[in-house]
Amino acid sequence: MVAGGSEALSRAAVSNIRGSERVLCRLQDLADGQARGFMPVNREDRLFAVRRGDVVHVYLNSCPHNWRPLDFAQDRFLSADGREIVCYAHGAHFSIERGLCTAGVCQGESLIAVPVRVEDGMILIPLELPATPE
Amino acid sequence: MKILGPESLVFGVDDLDACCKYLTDYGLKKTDSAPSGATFEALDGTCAVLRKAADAGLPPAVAAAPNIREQVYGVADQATLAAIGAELAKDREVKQGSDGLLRAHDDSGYPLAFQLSQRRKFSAPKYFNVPGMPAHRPINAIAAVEAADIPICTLSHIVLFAPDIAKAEKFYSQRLGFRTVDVFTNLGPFMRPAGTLEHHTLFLIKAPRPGLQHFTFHVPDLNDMLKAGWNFVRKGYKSFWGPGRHVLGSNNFWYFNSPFGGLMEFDSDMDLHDDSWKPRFIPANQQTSQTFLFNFAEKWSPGDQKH
Repeated sequence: MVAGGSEALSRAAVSNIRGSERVLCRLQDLADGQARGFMPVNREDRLFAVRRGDVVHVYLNSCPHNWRPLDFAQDRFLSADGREIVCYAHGAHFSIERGLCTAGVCQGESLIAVPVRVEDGMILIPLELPATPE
Repeated sequence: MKILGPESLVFGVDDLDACCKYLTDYGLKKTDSAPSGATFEALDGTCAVLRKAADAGLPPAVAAAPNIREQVYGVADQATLAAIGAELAKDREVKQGSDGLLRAHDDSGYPLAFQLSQRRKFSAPKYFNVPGMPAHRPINAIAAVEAADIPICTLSHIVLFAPDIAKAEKFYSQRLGFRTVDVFTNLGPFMRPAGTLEHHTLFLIKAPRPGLQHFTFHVPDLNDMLKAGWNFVRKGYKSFWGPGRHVLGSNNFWYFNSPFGGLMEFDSDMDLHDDSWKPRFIPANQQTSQTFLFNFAEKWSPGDQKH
C-alpha cells in the first residue's frame, strides 16, 4: 500500500458497486462516533453516515425543513458532543438512531433513512436511494 | 423612537473553535477573546458575540443550542432609551444590566437589549464605475485584486422564526416604532426601525417554533458579495442559496450553513425607503424571491489556451 493509501482507498470506494449494492467505505474508515458525507454532487454530499460502535446509520443529506443539506463544512453533521445530528441550515436537531427531529422548526419530522448493512468490514447501501418529497 | 438597528448579536454555541474559525473566514475581526467566548467586529464596530451555550450570564435560550441568545439594538439618544424602557415596562420586566444595557423580551420570547449606539464611522472602498457618472474608483486603481480583503462593513439584518407572526409584528410596530416595509404574505413582514431607511433590519418568518433563520453583515457592493462568497466556498463552507438578488429589498445575497443555529449570509446593496413607501404584499416563491440566481462553478476558460 502506498503512503496515504487508506484515505485514497476509502474515497475511491465510493464508486464501488457490488451487485445491487454500493460500498460506501470500510467500517474502519468511519471512526466510532464520527459522521461523514458521501456521494458529492456539485459540492453537496447526497448522503451521510454516522457510526456508533459497530452500528452505522445512513441518511440522505436533506433536512425535512427545506430539503437542503445539513452540514456547514465537510463532514460537520453532528453536535459538538457528537450525541445528535444537527442541521446547520436552521438549527434542527435529530436523533442519530432514528433520524427523528427533536428540536427546531421541523420537530416531529424525520430525516430519510438509507438502508445500510455492514458485511466483511464494508458499509453497504442499496444502489437505489430513497427519494425526497421534493 | 430612534432605534437605528441591530449592533450586536449574541449566540450561544457548542463548538466555539469552529465558530471562531467561521467568523474569521467570513472576514470579521476578533476583538475580544476569553475562555467563555469571543467578539467579532465589522468595520463600524457592530458585531457577532460568541458565548458557550451553557454560559450562565446569557439570557434563556428560545431554541436548542446553537442559536441566537440576545439581540442588542443601538439607539440614537438617551430619550429613545428612556422611551423604550417606559413603554416596555408597561407589561413586562425591563432590567438595567450592570453593563448599562436595557433588557427585555419581545412577544416571541427573544431576548432584546438596547444601548446608546456605539457604531463608528468607517470608509470602505467603492469599486463600481458607472458610465456617465463620476468615477468611483480612482484612476489607475485596480478592482480585480485576487488577494484583496473583502471589507465587512456593518451588521445588516436578522431573520427570526415567529410562531405568532401577527403578534410578533405588532410588538415591533406598536411598541418599538418599527415600520413594515414589505410583506411576504405566506412568510411574514420585512421591518425597519425608525432610525434607518434600510429596507429591513428584521424579517419575521412564520414557523411552528422560534429560532434563528439567518443573519448577515453588509459588504460594500455586488462584486464584494460575489467574491466573499466565492472565497467562502473555496474555504469549504457549504452554500445554502445563492448568489442571487432578492426582489423585496433588492439586496444581493449568498447564504451559507453555519454553526450558529441558522444561516449566515453575505449581503450588499439594499433598497432604502422612507415613510412615504407603501408596502407590497406578495407571496414568496421562486419568481418573487430572486431577480436572478447563479450556481457556483470552478474557474474555467472556454477553449482553454486556444483562440
